Amino acid sequence: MMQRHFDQDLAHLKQTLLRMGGLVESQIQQALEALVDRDSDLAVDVIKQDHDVNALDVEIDELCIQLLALQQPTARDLRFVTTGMKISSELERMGDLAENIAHRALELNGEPQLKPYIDIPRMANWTMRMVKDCLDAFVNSDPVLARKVCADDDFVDEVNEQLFRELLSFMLEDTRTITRAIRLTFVAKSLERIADHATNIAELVVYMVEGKNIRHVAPSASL
Amino acid sequence: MDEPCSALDPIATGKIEELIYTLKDTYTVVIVTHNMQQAARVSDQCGFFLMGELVEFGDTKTIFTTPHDKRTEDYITGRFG
Repeated sequence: MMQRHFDQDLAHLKQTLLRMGGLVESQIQQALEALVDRDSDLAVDVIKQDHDVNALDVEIDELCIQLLALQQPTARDLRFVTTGMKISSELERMGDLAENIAHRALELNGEPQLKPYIDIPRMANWTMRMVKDCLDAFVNSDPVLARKVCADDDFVDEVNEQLFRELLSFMLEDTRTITRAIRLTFVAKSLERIADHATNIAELVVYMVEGKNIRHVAPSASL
Repeated sequence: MDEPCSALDPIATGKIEELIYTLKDTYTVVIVTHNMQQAARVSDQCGFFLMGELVEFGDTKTIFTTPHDKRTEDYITGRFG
């Protein structure tokens, strides 16, 4: 097959997306460490990193617009470029949510720890694996892995629900825990949202590879 | 090059365009084309002539994403006339 000049542009877009993905992955990881290890300096680092993620979002947007205007991609090239644009937005949102977690960590680290953090790290590890998997699915054009990410989202939703109930019982028992418990629900909610964005990326990967849209349809119809 | 790919099929056009990419490392290549897609794909800078008048000249990226002159925009979007 003929090697096109355009392929270098596509490779560059892919690399930039992966760089952004790597940055967001470490942002989420560090936001969690900042909370669990009560490391406020690290939380500040995470907040600062958001600027780099945003800059990459803008860079990828411009790159995609340029490729659409100048190369008029078709078929799988078109799906790749348009998907790339959307993945960039999803990653940018994930970065914002990691930043939110870092802000909550800063606040929580200033007060005595409400309870040992067990479910939140469990939820975070699961979520981070989903993020890693959706990016791997993108790199390797792997719709099987992408569909696994979509299925994995249910677990995160369950843990989020379970955490909410647990924290609610803390608040009902002792009103002095309310502030901290609410902040922790925000952390869990942010993780749950990150997992949703990972699911969105996974769905985009299925579209990119198969040209089949599995978003907003009943789970049975998407397989 | 004056209309270097007119009447060529996509495969032959692809070969010529790859040749242009290779040549542009060492040479300045000037191409006249009526094929907007081709102008967008192969050039770094681009000029739009209308009835012998140079309407707009600039980076291809700018011409095809945010042209300054309305006539350029109408032409490349196929709204001319």
